[in-house]
Amino acid sequence: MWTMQTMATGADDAQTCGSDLIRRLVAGEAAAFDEMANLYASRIAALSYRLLGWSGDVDDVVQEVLMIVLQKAGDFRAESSLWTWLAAITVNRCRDHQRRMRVRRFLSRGLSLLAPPADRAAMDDETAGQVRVAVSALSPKLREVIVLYYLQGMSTAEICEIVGASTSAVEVRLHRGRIQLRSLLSKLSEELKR
Amino acid sequence: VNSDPLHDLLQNADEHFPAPRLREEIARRARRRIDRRCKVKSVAAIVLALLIVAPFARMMLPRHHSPTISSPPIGDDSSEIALIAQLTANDIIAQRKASEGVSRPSSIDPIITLHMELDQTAAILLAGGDHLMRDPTQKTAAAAEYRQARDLFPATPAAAVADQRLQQLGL
Repeated sequence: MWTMQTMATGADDAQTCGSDLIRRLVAGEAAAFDEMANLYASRIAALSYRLLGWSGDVDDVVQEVLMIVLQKAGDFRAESSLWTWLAAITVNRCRDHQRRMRVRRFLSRGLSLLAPPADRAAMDDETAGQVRVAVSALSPKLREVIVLYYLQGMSTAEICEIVGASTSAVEVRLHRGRIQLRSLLSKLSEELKR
Repeated sequence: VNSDPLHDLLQNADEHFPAPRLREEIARRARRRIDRRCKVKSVAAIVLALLIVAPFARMMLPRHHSPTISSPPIGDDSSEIALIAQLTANDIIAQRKASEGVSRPSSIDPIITLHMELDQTAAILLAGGDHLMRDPTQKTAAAAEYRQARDLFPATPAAAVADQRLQQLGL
């Protein structure tokens, strides 16, 4: 049961997705689900793409998120932002997806666990490519808070709700993530060095 | 956040790698996937239930004991004779009952039982004689069997048959 308190994004959510839509979605109305999917699918795709290190089968993750929404929409009490709820589901789905991918890679013993495919990395812009490699090299927990904080523009409180951790835990992860990223990206810019 | 140089680097990288476009009708595909999963789950549940119930069902069902027919070993003459005699006697008894129109009594009458046993014994002797007749060197022994059946159990159907056989043998 999703029972967290209303947060700042609730207002944003009300603009994007009216309370009527949320009410119909919770009631299990098929049209409301389609409407919600149209509104949020691209946002879910963008978030999952970032969480997967700008790679991976985003379509599959979005489908899984929508399946969970369809099955558990009745549990959503609208005490929080719909987007926060969707983001939490997306984070969990991405964790599972990455776990499956790690097992697949281990079994196939093919690609490295961290680096993107060689041909694509070669095509990437050098800096962007290295940032991608550095973000991919972070552990999933650190990557989640970095992505949610820097790329999704979420507050620490929102991140706490999404990843299901305390404020101090999120702050520690954010701090460690920054240190690791700086270490990995230190060759890129003098600005990163302190 | 904006003053953090990490922010700019990450934002630039994010712009460099735009999320791929989703395929059409993602909501409908998600719905279909749920339906498929539900079907697979129900089939799996049925199969699992059958696998669990099957051993118990076999235990619960009444057992029908099918009669086992054991044939005597080849070359064992006494067993073969007894079998032939039994079958012959049963035939004779059945014929007699049919001809007399006597239905099987619900309670066993000792007189009828005695008659049946006499018929059966005479039939055994007759069958023994028939068996010996197969061997041309045993005709005398066969005649002795027929004589016993005729003389010891004269009122039985087997005695009449034995008398016919003796006449055929010219004895």
